[in-house]
Amino acid sequence: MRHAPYFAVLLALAACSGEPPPDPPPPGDSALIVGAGPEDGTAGFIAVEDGVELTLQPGAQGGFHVYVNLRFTEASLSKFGDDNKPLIRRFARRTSNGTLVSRSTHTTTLMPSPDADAMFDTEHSIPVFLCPTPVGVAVADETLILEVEAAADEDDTDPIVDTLEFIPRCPTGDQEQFCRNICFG
Amino acid sequence: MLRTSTTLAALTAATALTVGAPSRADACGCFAPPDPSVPVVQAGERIVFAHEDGMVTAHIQIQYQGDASEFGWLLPLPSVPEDGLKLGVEELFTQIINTTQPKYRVNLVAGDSCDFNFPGRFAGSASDAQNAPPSEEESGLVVLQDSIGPYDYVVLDASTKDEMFDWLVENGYFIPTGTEDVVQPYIYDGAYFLALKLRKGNDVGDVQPVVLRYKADYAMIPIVLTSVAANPDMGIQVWVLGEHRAIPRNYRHTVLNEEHIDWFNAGANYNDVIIAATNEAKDGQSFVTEYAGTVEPMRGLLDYDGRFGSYEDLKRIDDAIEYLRYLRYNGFAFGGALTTLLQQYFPVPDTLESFAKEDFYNFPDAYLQQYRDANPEAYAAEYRFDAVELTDKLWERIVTPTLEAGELFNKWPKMTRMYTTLSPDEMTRDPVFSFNPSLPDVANEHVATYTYLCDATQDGPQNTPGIFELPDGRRFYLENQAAWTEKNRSSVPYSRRIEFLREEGPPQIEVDNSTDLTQSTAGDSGCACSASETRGSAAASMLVVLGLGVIAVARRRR
Repeated sequence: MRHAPYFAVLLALAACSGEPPPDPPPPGDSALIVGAGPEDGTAGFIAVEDGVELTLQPGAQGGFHVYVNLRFTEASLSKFGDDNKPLIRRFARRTSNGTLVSRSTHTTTLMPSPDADAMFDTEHSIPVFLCPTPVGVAVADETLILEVEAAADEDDTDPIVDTLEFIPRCPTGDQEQFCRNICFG
Repeated sequence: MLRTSTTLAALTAATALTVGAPSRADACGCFAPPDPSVPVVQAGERIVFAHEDGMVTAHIQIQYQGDASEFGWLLPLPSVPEDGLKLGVEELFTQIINTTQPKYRVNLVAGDSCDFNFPGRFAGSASDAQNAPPSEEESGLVVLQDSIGPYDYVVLDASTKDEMFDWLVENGYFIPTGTEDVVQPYIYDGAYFLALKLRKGNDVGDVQPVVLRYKADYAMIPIVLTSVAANPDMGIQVWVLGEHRAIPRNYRHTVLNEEHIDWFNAGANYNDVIIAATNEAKDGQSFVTEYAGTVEPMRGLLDYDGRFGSYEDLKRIDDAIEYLRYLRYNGFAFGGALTTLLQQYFPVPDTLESFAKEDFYNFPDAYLQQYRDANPEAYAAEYRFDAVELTDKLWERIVTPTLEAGELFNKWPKMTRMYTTLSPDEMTRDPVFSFNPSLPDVANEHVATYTYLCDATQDGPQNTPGIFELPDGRRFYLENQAAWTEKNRSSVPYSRRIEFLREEGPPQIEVDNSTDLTQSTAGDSGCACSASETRGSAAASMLVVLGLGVIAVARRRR
């Protein structure tokens, strides 16, 4: 996450990075934080630090994804109009060589955060699809950088942006081998 | 996806496609005759995907031959489909196949001094080319259960395999042997399966495509699950609609070496070339892009203004002949689900000749009046029908799905058609599709040129030597057209390139066979004709010399 001035004490509930979670941005600033989401895909923003390890979750007809969640300051909302539905563009790349491994564009609905004043979170966790990977490109155990742009609409050239570096890991158990088959290129 | 039937071995024996030029259903409810210039491909899977705002819409053609009681269909889903299951229409597939079909044509060009005229373009002659609802305690497993058109369907929680399979068996869904071996990747907390079967009273002829809309980042075909019921080299044809050209994300991409195409027979060996070319890729997992470009040719084909007339008007028509006339003149395309439905209300007499059965609904005046008057014994009873009920069914099964399918092409600017063939042992990875905005369009029409060497025309166009030029510019001397088809190319690769298409940037080439392809044997001037391209006879050699002489003279005169 690139909100260095705002780093402080949000606890990373599912994160494994060992780094302290960042401060939230002041509500008066228009800002976005990319965090993790619960592994069952339900709502809930989990503040994490760059370098966090996220477990690949089975889903999407036999694929794997990680869950992220987005948190917006109240000041951001004016950008998105009355329905609080920003257009989200996501790009995930390998930090080692910049290879694009996931891309998606969708709208999402924002709800008042249940655990942070003057903050708004995405209504549900967002699955970032990663596997099957692009052919020949490993994703699991690689550091990826997820860039998220929140725009008012397709024509918005000044979106709010944040990034999160994370390392996807295959789950243990029944799905582990299948994950290894399709997440390592 | 998995069709659960013991008779699924007939997957690829499904209705043969006689594809043709883009055609619009006309007032008689027919389509234009098939175009003989296109190769016929029988695919086992056909899906049209559209992707927008994190939602995937999938129109899935279900091909099935077998007993209605054994019909069943299973599809793993990443989420509960929004709006449940909807019906699709065969006409979407008929039209989009025709519109995007690869075509292989040869332009025939007379040499400079020719004193005869061939048609400017042909594609081989036509004759060449034609050579029980759940209990309360089960409700946790059953997420959604309903009926639509000819189907009963259910969406099941796929957290546990055994529980799901038990339910399917208990409720009459057939599960083929081997399914349990491959289904594990689709079983996890939060997974769902859609199961489909024919409603009581419906027959195999009632099977029609289905439409699903669900949340997903990418469109995917769960082909691993299909492997238990697939034939060798099963065709998989997919169209992806979106803002940009679509790509196979986790499969390789093959560019064909068009030297292997049987050009003078309209690409009749196209499917064999695809099989061979995709098998040159690692694990046999590679797609060929057959078309990428505008959706414009599809716009208005399915949903043109005024099509289907008025629901209110139709449901008030209680005379059978008038009713069928109305269908005919308002763009209902007889065949498939429509014919099956009409047969329930206006059964075709068994005693009619087969051609008459096919024409029965197109010519209601003839078959419901004139022929009937002459053969009253052939008709069991009066055609009494409930116009409101029938019209409701038509709107549910035909009209609404057709118009919604047509709307696809108003929402998205581009469509990409990709094709591959896979054998069961190659179905180890579910293909996923994405987009790459920077890739160029791909035309579906491929044109080669055959330039006659004019002083050797005594034996007719097909037996006249000439220079054959492929679209990639390679030129070959041919003693006659058959020489192209008969040429031994056993050591020549079927792929020009095998590459990775990423979600951005140009293709990354994995295998470039350019240097291994047969190189031009006729130079730019036509003066490099090689005897190796002829049958090696002395007579042929003489023809080469003679032909080149004519070209050389002709060029000097310019």
